[in-house]
Amino acid sequence: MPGRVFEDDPNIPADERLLRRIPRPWVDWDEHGNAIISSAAFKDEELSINLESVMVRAGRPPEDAIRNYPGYGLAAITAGHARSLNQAVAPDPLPEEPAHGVVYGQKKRGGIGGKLRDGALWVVRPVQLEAS
Amino acid sequence: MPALGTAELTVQDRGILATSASAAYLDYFSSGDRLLVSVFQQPVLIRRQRKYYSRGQEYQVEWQDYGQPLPAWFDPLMQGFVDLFTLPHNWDSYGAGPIDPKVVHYAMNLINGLLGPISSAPRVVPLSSGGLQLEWHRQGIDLEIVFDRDGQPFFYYRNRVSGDESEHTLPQDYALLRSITGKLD
Repeated sequence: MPGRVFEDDPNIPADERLLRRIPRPWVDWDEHGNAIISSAAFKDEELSINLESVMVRAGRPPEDAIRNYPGYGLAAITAGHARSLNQAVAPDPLPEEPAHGVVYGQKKRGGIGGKLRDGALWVVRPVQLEAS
Repeated sequence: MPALGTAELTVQDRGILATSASAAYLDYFSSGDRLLVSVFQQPVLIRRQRKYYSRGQEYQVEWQDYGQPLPAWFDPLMQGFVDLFTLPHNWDSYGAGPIDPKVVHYAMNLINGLLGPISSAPRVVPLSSGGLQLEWHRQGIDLEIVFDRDGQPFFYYRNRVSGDESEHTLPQDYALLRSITGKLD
């Protein structure tokens, strides 16, 4: 739902992990077989994520974020990293995903998407296909 | 190899692929290679085609050229563009729609003349907004050309060693972009 504005929620701690699903078109493989995430994965102004703490409170492991998405990877950035790049972090629960949240702010210019990506760590690495 | 169906492309889609490939290839080879042809051997355009497969669909790209060998980047780049057309609905799992064919067309035209015969192919990456970006990550340099549905194309450059970064609008800074891509190989 683009067009909304989100304010940063200070109740979300800096070390909160924000989980983002990574489909194959956003993954490249280097010569060592490492999965590299494209900056394109972090360029939405209203970037959907899952708040890990909300999932944990519901008894859900992080991997549950990709339960219905076979082949996807799952990456995490922290709320503190997002804020360091002038992004707001806010909860945005949805009926189908109570842990849904948003990293809100301009990301397409100034290399912000790439810098967000630089702080991402794999929670679940995607599997490389033979011919992808 | 499993049976592959032929993609039901619209006329517009076919036109974009064929026309764009043709334009890029013709312009590129018409400058350098014609110098090698003597005045008694006038170059003759021939019609060429190549098939690409993506997610079980077959796409045919047609163009005209003088019969020269294809540059190394041609197949990976075309495959990358074709792969954009076969992305399923909601391909990013966050509600992304299809990639805008006009954006693909624009990207094909802009890359015309940018790459040399042995240039490395950029990676073609879809954007959730319906645009695309071309990416190189080589020699300690990150280079991304962004084509979005709204707004002017631009490129972002970062030297991972020095930390220098800059952003430039296209087509105004095309000469600078060409200079940077020349240093990637």
